[in-house]
Amino acid sequence: MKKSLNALLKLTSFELDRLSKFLFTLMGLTLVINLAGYIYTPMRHMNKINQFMTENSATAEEALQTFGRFSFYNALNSFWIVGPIVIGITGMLFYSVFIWYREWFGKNTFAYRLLMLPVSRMTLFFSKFIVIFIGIFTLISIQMVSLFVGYPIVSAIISDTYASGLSLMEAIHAHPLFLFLFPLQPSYFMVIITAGAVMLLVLFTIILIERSFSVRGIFIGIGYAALSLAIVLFPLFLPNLLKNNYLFYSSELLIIELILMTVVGICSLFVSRYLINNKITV
Amino acid sequence: MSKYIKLSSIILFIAVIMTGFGIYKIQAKTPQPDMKIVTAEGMPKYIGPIELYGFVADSNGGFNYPTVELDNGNFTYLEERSFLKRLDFNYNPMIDELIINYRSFMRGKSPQPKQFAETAQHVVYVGSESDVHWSTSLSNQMTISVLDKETKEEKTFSVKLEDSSSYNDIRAVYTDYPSLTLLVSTDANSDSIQTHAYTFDLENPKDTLTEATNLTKEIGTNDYLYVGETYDKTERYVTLQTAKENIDSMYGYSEEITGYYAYDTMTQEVIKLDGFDEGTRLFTDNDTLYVGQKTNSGIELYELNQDDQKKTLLGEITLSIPDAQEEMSYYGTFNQNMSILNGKLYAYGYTEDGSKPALQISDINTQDALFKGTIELKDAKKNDSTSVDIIEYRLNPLID
Repeated sequence: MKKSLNALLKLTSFELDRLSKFLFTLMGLTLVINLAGYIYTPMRHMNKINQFMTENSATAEEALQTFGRFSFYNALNSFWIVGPIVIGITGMLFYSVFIWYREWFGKNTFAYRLLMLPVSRMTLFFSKFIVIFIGIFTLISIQMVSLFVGYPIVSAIISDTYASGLSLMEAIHAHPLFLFLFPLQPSYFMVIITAGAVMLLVLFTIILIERSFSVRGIFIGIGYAALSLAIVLFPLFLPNLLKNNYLFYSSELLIIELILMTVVGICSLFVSRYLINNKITV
Repeated sequence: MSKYIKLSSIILFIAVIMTGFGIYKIQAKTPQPDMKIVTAEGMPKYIGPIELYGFVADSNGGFNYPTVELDNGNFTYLEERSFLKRLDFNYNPMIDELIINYRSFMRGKSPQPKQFAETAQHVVYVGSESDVHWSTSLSNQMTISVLDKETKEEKTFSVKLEDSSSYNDIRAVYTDYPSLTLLVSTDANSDSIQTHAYTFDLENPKDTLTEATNLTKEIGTNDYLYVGETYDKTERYVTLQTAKENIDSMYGYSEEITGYYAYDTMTQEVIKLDGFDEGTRLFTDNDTLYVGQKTNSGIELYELNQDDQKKTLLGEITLSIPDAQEEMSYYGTFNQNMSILNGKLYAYGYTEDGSKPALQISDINTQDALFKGTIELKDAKKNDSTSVDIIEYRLNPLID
């Protein structure tokens, strides 16, 4: 047990080393673009107000009526904040595929060396899985740090007369994206994390299917993805199948959904274990 | 150990940030403002039957509009419920309460209050397949379910409307157990929508619902039929109102009330009520019909003798809620904001400046105000920036 944990730790550390450059780039990109947004968005608002007041000899009251008050939410709702989040999600999704294919598509087929290691092959699978999650949580954390840095910057640029007085937490709560990304409602966040974990397990399984059966594997992989999706989305079809929209309460549908996601996740683990141990040969 | 430095640093970074965020979230969380009933006159014990939901909006509080619930005189916030219970929450107080108390019975039933009647002993539901599965084509097949609250025994009957129709809309369900009366708008035997009253004996069920009265035919007009909002579904009379649309301009229209009626569930007759002026309101309570006539300061209440339609003045009730005098009607019902229940007239609306919800309860016989008051925040300083908007209101006839 201790030996396999030690191996998992080593492999995870190794995978993280390989991810680090990509991860640090995403972190840097997030911070820099966010910072630009925290400065640019409120400044643009203030410039508009100043220009309006100069050109129209308007009072602050009139400017407020025209442009409204600026809140931190306005800054959050801009490309400067949403953009890096989208880049981060896309980046991690890309890396989830890359983390496997890089082993085969290098100058040397590094996969063979990895698979020859005297540890359970599933350790390799779990190390890659954990690293992706570490990457996701690192990006979420850096986004949190960014918000705490950005709030005083925006508050400093917008003069009190034009500020809405919306607190940092209120602005975060108001933004639908952060409801998915941040643990604002722990139960909801757990559902999102579970869904993310299952999605990653299915993706890894599809990659292993493709690696195991080559071209045929692509079709089997697509079939597996479709089947997993059908199982996970099954509760959505229940009202139509049973011809009753109210046969299950929303809480029950969520519980069914979580059970099905767990089933798909466990199945993916077993399929992956079978493939990595028996089908991917060195 | 140094080979794990990157891994441990990143995990530590995540742990510190997540913990920090959690602590900040808890620390920054402002508790929802405590609400209170401010009594201007009378006693707050009378507000027991009032159940309402409202959004609390703080102009300094951003985009968060928590839902507050008034039930049996106590305020609670929706967010106080557990995550799963919040998912099952229904914005209608009657349906929400039924789901909490009779979860199994409510399963698979359309969450429309107009399709339920509740007595001290029973809960009755009437619905069609298309009510619970919208893409199912409409049929004249209805399901009637009755729950005995004490024994938890549920009986379900599948019945057909006497005439085949392609459109059925259950407008109201009334019960004087075991007798059940339902008002259904259908297009049976007609090109236009007609409203029919059907009766059903819950103790002696048949497989066909027999039409007791064709209300549209009895009333003699195709004007739109509104059903009075009565929270007690055991009343003898169903109050009705017809209205027609007057096109005022290219973009607007107004509705004109063209007649007042009452359907007697005992004699199965439609009573036409004549001599009503503008600003008249029709109420029912137990076995009696009441007519309210709008005055400058409130409402003059008359008891109506249904035989000779003679009105007996009970007295004038002064209303301290300006907008309660104006009749509210939507979703095919009228009298949303004022009704009589167990000898008391309940009215709700907003204070003159529109900032606070106001409630008034008056004894219809003595016209004394049993309760007059407002819903306010305990922290008076926040009253200027915070408002409560009533989104759902009902009277619980089982609470006195």
